[in-house]
Amino acid sequence: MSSALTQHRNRLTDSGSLLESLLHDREIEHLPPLGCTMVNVAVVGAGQTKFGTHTLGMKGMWHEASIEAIKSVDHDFSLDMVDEAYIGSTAFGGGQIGNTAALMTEHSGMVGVPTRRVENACASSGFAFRDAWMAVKSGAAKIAIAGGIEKMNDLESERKRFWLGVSGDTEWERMAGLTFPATYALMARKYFHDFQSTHDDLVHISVKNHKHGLFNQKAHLQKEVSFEKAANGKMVADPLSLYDCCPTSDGASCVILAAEDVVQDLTDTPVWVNGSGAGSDYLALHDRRNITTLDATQIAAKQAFEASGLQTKDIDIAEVHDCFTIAELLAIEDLGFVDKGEGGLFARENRGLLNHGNLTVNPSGGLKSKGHPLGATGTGQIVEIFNQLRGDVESQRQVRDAEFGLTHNVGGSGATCAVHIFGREIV
Amino acid sequence: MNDKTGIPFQGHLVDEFNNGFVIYSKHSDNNTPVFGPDVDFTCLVASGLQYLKNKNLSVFIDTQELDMEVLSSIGFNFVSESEQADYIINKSRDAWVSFSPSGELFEPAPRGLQTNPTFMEEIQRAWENELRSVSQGAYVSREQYIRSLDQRINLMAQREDHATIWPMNFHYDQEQIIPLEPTGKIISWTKTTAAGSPSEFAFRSPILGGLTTALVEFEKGTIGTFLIVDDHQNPVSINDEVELVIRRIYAQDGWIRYGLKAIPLKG
Repeated sequence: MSSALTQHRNRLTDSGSLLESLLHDREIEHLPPLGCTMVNVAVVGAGQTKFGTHTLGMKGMWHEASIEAIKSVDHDFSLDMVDEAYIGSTAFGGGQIGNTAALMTEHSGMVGVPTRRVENACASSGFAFRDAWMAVKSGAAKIAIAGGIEKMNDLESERKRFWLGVSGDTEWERMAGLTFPATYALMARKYFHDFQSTHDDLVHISVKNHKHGLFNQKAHLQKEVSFEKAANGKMVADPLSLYDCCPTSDGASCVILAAEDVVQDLTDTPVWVNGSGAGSDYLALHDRRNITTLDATQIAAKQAFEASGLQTKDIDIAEVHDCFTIAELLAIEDLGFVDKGEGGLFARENRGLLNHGNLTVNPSGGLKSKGHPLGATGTGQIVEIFNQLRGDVESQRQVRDAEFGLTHNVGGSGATCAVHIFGREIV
Repeated sequence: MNDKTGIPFQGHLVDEFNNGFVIYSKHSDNNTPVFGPDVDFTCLVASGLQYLKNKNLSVFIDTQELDMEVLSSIGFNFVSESEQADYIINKSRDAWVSFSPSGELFEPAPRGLQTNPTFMEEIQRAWENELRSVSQGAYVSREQYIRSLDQRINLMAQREDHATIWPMNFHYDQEQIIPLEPTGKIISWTKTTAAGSPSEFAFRSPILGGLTTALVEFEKGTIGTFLIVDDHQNPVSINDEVELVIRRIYAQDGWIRYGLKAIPLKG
């Protein structure tokens, strides 16, 4: 074993478990490996389909999202400039579970480009983006595409229910009757028990996100929901009701990343990637250190903030992974915006409401209102931050004077997480 | 018959006799024991074996209608000739099973909760539909299931750096494996409606009025995820003490997955 590797391993051993080390002690060694030169990376184009129930299939949706991304690039851009493509998808339903990415790039006119499917459940395209960022940052690629695709509503309801569980722990959790709503319900009940919080706090999150999504032309559920209605929704997994759960959506999203030296040829208004972080955790909830904290989020956030040199107070917009309302509450804590146990108060005081305080949370409507086409959600969040920072969203939901935005994309109940921090300027 | 009758055991009842015992369902139809919604002969025999306690005994049983992979995993020596057995297990036509050295068939005293025949018919029909169902996505194969039986049925766990890990990781040596006590307390729970239940339970969940799943913390600090038994009617709470017992979990591809479910010890 090389001395560098031995040193690296010893440091982890000295500081206890790997998880503890990642959460508290370990210094992050950012790319690139020896022989590479780190460059700054920007998003220069972004597009997505409307999330919802589509008549278009996977090919048509990917085509639409990629064309919108290409058109959003301000100056001359053609697909033959793309060096690498990373496409996130769970391949829901198994219609094209092998070589999904090649089929997609074929339908956006990129035949010949090295491509691959990235699968990390609902965080698939958050990780596809991270992989693309690594490729450009390391100098291995000048321009890369990251995107996501999911076609969920073609399936009959019974087959859909089978596939909705494939990213949980099938051997132990699913055999004990758990679905993702049920898994997050276990977190919610424990959170209510341990902290000063009630289901009303989750209702505030649902109402806020629907309020934001109302004006988002790309959102699946463009409708406001009253507090009373959201508080009395049909139960899905006690204590979570229908209004705590995101919809099952079709959709595709696509972003274009470029190295600093070519950015100015492509756009006058780049959105810079100031930090990237990612982490993982035990797949099953019962194996975790704590069920009211997502360690994967904490690890990813720590990395992203350290890399960016920014602090939580610098962030103006956060697109967080609210697959269930309790997930947004926990994310606000695990990302470091409030202390542990204060997520309920943050929600109760509506601090995440558009232009209400220092931080707007989920101005797109989040997964709750905008929708959640699993593999497309991560880069869909980045499309939102790209458009927000460039002032290109509908005026009714534009975050004022935003400089920095964050995306938080979680796989399943927290087995994987990717966090990215973006800015109008390089930090 | 002596006076040890109607002894509650793992959600069933036991009557003891001088030369053996009978274990039977706590549900009855006109004083005849009938199976509860997630109990069958495999579950009753499994509980009877655990009532015997001494795993050095050899036992004989007619294996029809039984999942012998599950029963063998409990640890007794199953012999093929009744003459070689310390105990002979006799299944009745109804929901009771006798255990005796002589092979005597005992009859339980009439008692039990009067069941709703319509409910039981619906549940049995749902099980039949479930048995015929085929996976279309997430799937636990028979081989994968059998591989985990020792953990699933006997709660075998591993000790590692002062922690107890269950289900086990795969970097352990045999000396570190210990059984967990099948008791614990609920640290969180949820009740899913039919819409919130996994598709494997789609036939039965609406009839049962939903499924309750709990995170259970064992004495040694490790946590597991378990369904609450199907015939438990009352709501559960955080910190409730539970006992883990063998029950049917779900069926697919023509075979039934058994495992541990939790019975709240109060209510």
